[in-house]
Amino acid sequence: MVREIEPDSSLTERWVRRLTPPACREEVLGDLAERCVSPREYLHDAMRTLPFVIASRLRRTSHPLQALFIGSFLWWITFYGSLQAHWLTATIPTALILVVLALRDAWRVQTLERQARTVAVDMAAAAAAVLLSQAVLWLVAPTLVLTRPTLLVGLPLGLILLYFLRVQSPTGVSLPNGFTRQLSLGQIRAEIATRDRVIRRAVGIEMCACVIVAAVFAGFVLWRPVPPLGRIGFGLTVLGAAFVAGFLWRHVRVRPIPVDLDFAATVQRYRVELERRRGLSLNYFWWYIVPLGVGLAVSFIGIQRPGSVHRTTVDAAFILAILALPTLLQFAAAAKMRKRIEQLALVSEKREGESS
Amino acid sequence: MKSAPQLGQFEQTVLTAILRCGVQAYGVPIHQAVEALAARSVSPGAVYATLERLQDKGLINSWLSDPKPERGGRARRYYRLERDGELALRESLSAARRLWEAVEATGGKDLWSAKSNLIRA
Repeated sequence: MVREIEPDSSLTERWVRRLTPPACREEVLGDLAERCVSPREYLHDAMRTLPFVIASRLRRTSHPLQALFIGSFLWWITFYGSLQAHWLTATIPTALILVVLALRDAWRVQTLERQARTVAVDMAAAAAAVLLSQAVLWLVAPTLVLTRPTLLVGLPLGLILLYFLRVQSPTGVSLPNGFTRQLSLGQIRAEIATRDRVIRRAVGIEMCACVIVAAVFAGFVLWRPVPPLGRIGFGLTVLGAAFVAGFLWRHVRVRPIPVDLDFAATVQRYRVELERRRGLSLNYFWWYIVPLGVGLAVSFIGIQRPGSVHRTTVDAAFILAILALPTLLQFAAAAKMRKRIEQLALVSEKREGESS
Repeated sequence: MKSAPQLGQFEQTVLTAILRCGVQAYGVPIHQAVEALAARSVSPGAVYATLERLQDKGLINSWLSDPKPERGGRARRYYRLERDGELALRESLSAARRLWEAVEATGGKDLWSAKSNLIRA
């Protein structure tokens, strides 16, 4: 049967191409072109395909716990949710940013190249969505518009922090899962190099963050007029940040695996390194959250003014969420590492079987 | 020993369709085979979503072919069952067979008469 339509010739095909996530565009558009002989049939099939393909992509690229963490962070720190007159004021921009980031992740081709630039575009898209929503709200519901300080200070500051958070733990980039039985030495070295690069960057950002936190809280200790308990809390936070920075340097930074090892030795060293990292993830609460959390909690209690019980409760809940969610994220990372360790064990077994 | 992952009914159908298509297992024939096996119209999108899920579970593997002119210069993504996929399919088919045998044992080969026997019992 002769096709009535040429590839990407019609407006429909161009739109379908745009709406299909790049990661599965090749096969989905090819199958549509092969299956459909008329533009009408093409449109009908595309409408039966795209919602599933997009939903599947969103499921694969989004991480609910991470979204919850970013959502809590944005609502409480960026948009000062507990200070706003209406809960929707901070909730609308928070939800918008989460949606924009989820869609950007789903439409991203998985690569670590130019990650910093890609994340900068993510932040620009998020900022544009928030500003647009504020313009619409200003017309239809002015009471829900964010205050000027929130827009001028909170939003840029929050997006800068979010930028580093996303550069540090890239989303939409996943290390290979499964199908390890035919792994070559080149593939395993590439995987190690990618992992090392991500960890090196993450540790660098974390250490810089620790230095900034320590400097800011040291400034608070010296110059901010607060009750003694608040000052003790600030001091503990400085010590906690210094401890975490030291720990990162001593235990978390990359321990390179020599590139001249053979396949068996490389897999073995990689498994040992993954096991070590899995231990670090499982103990994250003790070496990261506790040292920083104790100081922050004492500071929070120390600087409270009597009166607003409701606000204090909301603030405390968000502090707990922001401290607890990264721990859960680390548990998830540890589970992934365990799976990879098991897969690598299968690779070794298969290689040994082949050689014997 | 690690047990085979549990499969949903549609996952079983898609895995069987991949087996049935053999070396020609890519989107279009897999979708046709799934419709034939399920004996109903199935959205192509549901097949893609299931293929991705099976791939995430490590039950199937995929690779892209060279571009084909009849597909507007686009490549085909071929699928193949992994050993875990074969194990999972065999396990779930065995479970289905055991259920069927249990139904047969209650009163004959006809499912409906078996059902009425069960109700009477």
